[in-house]
Amino acid sequence: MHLTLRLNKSLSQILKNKLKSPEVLSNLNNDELKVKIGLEIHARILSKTKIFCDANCFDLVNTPVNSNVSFFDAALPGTMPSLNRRCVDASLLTALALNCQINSMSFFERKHYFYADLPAGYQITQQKCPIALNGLFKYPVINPKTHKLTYKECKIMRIQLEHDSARTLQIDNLEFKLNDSQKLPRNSVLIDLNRAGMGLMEIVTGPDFEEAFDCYSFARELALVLRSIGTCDAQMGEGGFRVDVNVSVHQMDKSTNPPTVLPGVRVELKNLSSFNAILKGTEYEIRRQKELIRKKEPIRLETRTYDTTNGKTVSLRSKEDQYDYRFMPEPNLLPLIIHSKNLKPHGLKCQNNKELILSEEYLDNLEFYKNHADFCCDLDKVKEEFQNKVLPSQRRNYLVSKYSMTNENAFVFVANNLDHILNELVSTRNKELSHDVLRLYIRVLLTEYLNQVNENNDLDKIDFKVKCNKIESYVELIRNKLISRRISLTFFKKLFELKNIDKMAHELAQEENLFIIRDENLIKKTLEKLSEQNPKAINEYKNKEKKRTKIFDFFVGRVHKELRDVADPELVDHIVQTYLKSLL
Amino acid sequence: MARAKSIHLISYINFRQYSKFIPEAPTWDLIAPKRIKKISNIELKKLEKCSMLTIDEKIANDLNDAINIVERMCNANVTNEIKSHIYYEHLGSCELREDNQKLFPYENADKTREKILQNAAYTYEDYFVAPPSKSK
Repeated sequence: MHLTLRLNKSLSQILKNKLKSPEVLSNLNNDELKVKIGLEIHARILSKTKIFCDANCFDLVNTPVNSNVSFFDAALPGTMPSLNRRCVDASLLTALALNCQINSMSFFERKHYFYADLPAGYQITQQKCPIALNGLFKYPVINPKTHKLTYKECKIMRIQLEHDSARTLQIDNLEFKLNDSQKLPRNSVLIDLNRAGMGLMEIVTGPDFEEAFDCYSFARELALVLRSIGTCDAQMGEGGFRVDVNVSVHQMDKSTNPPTVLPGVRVELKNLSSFNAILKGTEYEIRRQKELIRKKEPIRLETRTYDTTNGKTVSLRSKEDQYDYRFMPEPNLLPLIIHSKNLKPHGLKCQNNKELILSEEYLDNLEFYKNHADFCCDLDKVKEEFQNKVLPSQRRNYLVSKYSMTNENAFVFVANNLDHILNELVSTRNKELSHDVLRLYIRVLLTEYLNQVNENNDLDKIDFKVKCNKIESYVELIRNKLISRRISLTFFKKLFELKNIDKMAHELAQEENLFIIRDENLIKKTLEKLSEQNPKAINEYKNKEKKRTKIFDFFVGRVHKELRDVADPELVDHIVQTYLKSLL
Repeated sequence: MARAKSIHLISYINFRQYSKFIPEAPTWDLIAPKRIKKISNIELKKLEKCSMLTIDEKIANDLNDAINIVERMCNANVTNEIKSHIYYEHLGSCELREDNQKLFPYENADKTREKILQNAAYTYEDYFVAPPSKSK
């Protein structure tokens, strides 16, 4: 009895120790944790004037502070909003590109909160009934391990129009005097209203993502689509394309059939300044939440941001106290009516897919507004405009069908706008395009040119036609084997330097004496000179069989170095081999 | 209780059937329903803790009344989804402005900036200066 008790005691002690050990703590494996990620994208609309006023909104970076500001942006009393037609058209084009249902009638609301970047104390947005709902977006994902391309789908919950807030500059620990007697309070904020009032499209996705790489791929593809249809320049660095990521990790209750997903805590990631930050920030946040769940620690409802220096997310503010935005209809903006032959005012949907009903009198009045140019927003005209746009998926399909490219290569081409260059090269070629030349074009664009895209900051300054001509001349040199493959990369880099902007490839090769050397006598003389300078290596080659490969490589390398890498590599190999064998 | 009779109501609302506990017209007189829900003392204590309020007899009675009013709505037959209504009469459509259309002739950007900044309490190198505020 005592023995059994002792054994049981020791067993319980072992169990207790095991419970404290990390192996038991992390018994929740990845199958029992479900990740849900949703995105909110704020895309700045490309337009000449702002959404609710006529202040200019171009060249935000170089415009002096507070100079593209109207009285409405500064919320001066008595000013009224005036909706920009271009912003409505841009949101409709985006809705068509994302396969959304367009509401024939949408409303504007005020979202109230007090902050220095919002002079009026409220933002005009669309909350109850936005301009578009219920879309579906297909985006490509390249598997980082297998490099295979697959397509995934994501639901677009809503697209709504709103305006941007002002730009703020935080002044920390910087005291400066306004005049001799006054001092500004610490941590004052400087406000620039140039950005205030610019049109934004808020695109909200469903919580359909489960991996950080999918979010990254989606954001990149969406940016490409918006650039293709001309509604947004999608420059993340300048704040024209802001992505907020909502991450929640849920435990699965496997005792039920089917397993149920238990509620989780949603953490928002904001102020992500690049696509890489979206990827790294989301990856870190998923790991962090999984770790907290495994340790049975609570996850706080908060807003975080990604610190690129330290490679982790940090807390910005808590969201435990939910802010009441006190939404109310915008009294200065009437409902936005979209007219179309196929769009009936009935069947109008708002959030949660609830249907709205209009009175008969109102429906009768709509006919008047349909025929009045100032009030009419014609969806059919926007659809015609959309037909002339070429989406990234269409560009990829064209490359695959016309040039027999793989899907993966087509993806890289379109992502880096290389297909425009390829089409230009092919169209300007007077002679018939052979399969070898086409392969060469594709190879050069995917390797040498893509290298330049990543490294050369001056590439954008070179005219498109000049770029195509340079690439064409370079390909001619390669095809005719007039340049050694050992210097092809460095030669290409030199070709695209600003100082060589006017030179084609053969001109540069002539100027710098970079044409391939096939003079056997010259190579032999160089080799003989090197062998006189390295008698030890020659003796080793004669006497030590095991070192012959190494010595062969040594002489090949030295010959190339002497001839500045422009000698024909195959010829050099042949001559060195023949020479060394003759010594035996 | 009378059922909804008037035709104009039916034209707006499809197939809605009223429970006999719901009066035909709005009224202040609360007719006691058959089942009266009452909050138990334990639940009241929990509410006190969550709300950090002291719930006395009056508040408890008001709470019970409020719950019972809502309880009647739960008795309404809403098997066919009730649609929300928006009634816009004599209102129009939002007027749209062309992208390059100027509403007022601005003299130039500098004068507009001057006018906008002149009411600011503090400015610094043409920036507005705002005191530190609580994050949104």
